[in-house]
Amino acid sequence: MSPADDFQLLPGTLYLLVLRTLSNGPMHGYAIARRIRDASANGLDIQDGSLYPALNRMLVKGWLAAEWGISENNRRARFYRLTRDGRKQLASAIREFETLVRNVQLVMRTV
Amino acid sequence: MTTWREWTNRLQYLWRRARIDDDVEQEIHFHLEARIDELEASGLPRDAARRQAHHEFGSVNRARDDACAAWQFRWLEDAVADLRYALRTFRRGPGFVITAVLSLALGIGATSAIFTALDAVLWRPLPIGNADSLVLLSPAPAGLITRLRESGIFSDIIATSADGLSFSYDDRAERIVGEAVSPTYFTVLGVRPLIGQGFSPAVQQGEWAPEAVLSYGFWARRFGADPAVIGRTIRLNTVAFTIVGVSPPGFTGLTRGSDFELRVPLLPEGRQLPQMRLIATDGWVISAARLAPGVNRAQAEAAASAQLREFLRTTPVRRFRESGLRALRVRPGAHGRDEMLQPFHTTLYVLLILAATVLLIACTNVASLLLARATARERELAVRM
Repeated sequence: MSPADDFQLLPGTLYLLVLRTLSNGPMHGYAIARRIRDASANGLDIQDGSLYPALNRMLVKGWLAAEWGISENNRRARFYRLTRDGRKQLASAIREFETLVRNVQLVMRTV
Repeated sequence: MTTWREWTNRLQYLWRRARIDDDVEQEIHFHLEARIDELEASGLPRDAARRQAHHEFGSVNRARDDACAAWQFRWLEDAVADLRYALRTFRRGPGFVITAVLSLALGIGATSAIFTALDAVLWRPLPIGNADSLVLLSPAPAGLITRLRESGIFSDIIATSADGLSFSYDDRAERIVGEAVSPTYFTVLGVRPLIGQGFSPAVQQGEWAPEAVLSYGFWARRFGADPAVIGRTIRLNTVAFTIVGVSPPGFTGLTRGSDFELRVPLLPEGRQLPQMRLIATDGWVISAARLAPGVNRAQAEAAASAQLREFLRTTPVRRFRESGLRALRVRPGAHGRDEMLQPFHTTLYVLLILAATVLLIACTNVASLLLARATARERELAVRM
């Protein structure tokens, strides 16, 4: 994910999106990409390819675990799920994000 | 937040690199296939679907490389690669490596040996408590020390005097050098005996008893480092002394370059022991002191010299009166007395410079060897680059 890809995204937003998406249960990479695309109604221009470096970084951080399984159309797919650390990370990321949004709104209203 | 977990996860990559790379590769393949299927199902021709999927995905190569890079420690892998390369080169020309290692080892070894000697002899402070506050006094009549002790110039003062003694134990006699010291010697220096109690409290309070503290070296040499020596009787010039302690290994007294075999307490002033002139408090002694709070070295020197002149004026002892001594020098004592080593200072420094030069020459040799080898391998390197 080069800076040009995520200039619309706040840092860490992709992580947050992935964590949030996986909080409903395990999913493979393509499903995550589709869910993110649907959820953001194409508003976020994330190239699908930049999802995989992010997923691997999150595996390294220990927020996610991955194992191979069979997809809905009978292909071998890699399924990701949140680990306990991942849940903790999601909770704290949500808190941080809300604080940020509140602060931005505060600034927008007062100025 | 780089956690421990993150490091261990990355370490796995070093072993399972192929697996992880393969996982990433297959996963990307699955993603593209799934997207193509989906687009095809929605009515696009296969070719257009493929183009569309690739367009949405972006660069496959970059996604793969970045995903794999998440696992790597760049520097570690570079270091491993360099090490491998070094080992390969070593196998090809062990002669070169042996020559380089030997000449560097020689240079480093010589330098550190000389450095260690100089450090032990000249630079390291004495292994005593609070070495920086210790001052040394020039030789003075023993009687003066009592006066100085009462004067309050120094918070503590101790006297020492060394001489040859005939030592016998176990029916074997030998000639040793013993040091007679103030009974509070070890307490004032802050040196705790390795074993035993040291001079007993009664002796330290001025009640003389025939007690001896062995030096570590003498204890190891003559008594085979036997811890049971405490309480045994030895004879010094036929007088029976009891061993009450062994001083710690690093401690060799205040005189650099000497290690007296044992220490016995000086007799209180006025008392004599006919067999042992050494311990009588009537000759010249060498003393060390700690300055009283608020007194600096110059003040102490002036005050002590005044005391000395007063002492010389009133003393009944002719050899003191006629000594012509006018002042007492007070100098820093953290490094002890090194008069014995003074003649060797220049020699030691010359040796150090010599050893450093040897190291420098060794480095130059290795450098030119490397240069020669680089020239010989110019072509190979050009190809590698």
